[in-house]
Amino acid sequence: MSRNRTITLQAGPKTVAAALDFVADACREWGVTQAACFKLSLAVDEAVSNILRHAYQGQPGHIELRMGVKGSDVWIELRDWGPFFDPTTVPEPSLQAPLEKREVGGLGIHLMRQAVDELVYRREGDVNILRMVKRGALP
Amino acid sequence: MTAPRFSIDHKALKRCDLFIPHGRIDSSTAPQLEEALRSVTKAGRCKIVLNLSDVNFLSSAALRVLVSTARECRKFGRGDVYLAEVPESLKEVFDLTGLDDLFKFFDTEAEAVGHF
Repeated sequence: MSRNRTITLQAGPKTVAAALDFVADACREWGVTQAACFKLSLAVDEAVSNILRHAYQGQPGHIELRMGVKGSDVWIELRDWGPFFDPTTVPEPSLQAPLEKREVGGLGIHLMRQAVDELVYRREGDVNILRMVKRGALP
Repeated sequence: MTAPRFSIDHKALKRCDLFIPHGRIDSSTAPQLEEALRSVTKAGRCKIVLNLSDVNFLSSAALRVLVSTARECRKFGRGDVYLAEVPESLKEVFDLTGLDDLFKFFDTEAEAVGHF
């Protein structure tokens, strides 16, 4: 059984749902722990939403989602062909502010950083590549 | 035909409005949650209980909806958003974002409803 798979998603209203279905199916087949699958899904939801918002901004485009296993780790790579956007450099939101003053933006990036153990961005030609790794995702 | 990824039940109770979402509240379904909550806040009803026992995923888009709704409800002391029966995995999302201190959590739906 191959523990490496890729899906190409068209940018649109169903992209996030399709990406999360893809992650959930792989997690189920590979026996990824529920906790790790939840965290990977959190990170993918945020990453794909960012791509739709920043890279494609409602315009047509596609996202390639690759997912695989290395030892007991699960890695995910997201590729898009939008303008340069490095989500790892977005500043952390204040987590201490009271509800009335709480910034609701930036939470997603913060969650993405918290959910996975490695978050690495690189630009290759005209491609944004975001790689995330969840360690110990397989029992 | 596959089951819908998200649905939401609403019960207008004497003390408050109870919402029971089912499934996944991700970036694509959070607007449905927002629409449901807004339907009552727009009508001036701001005492809201959300029973999250049947929710298996919650993203930052869902948190944004909860924060903005709670903010709206707390204005002028009109009410609040109480969270009931929150599964541990979901509770962690609140912890990770520091929102755990900003919402009231209840073990049971009845306790949350009774608190209003």
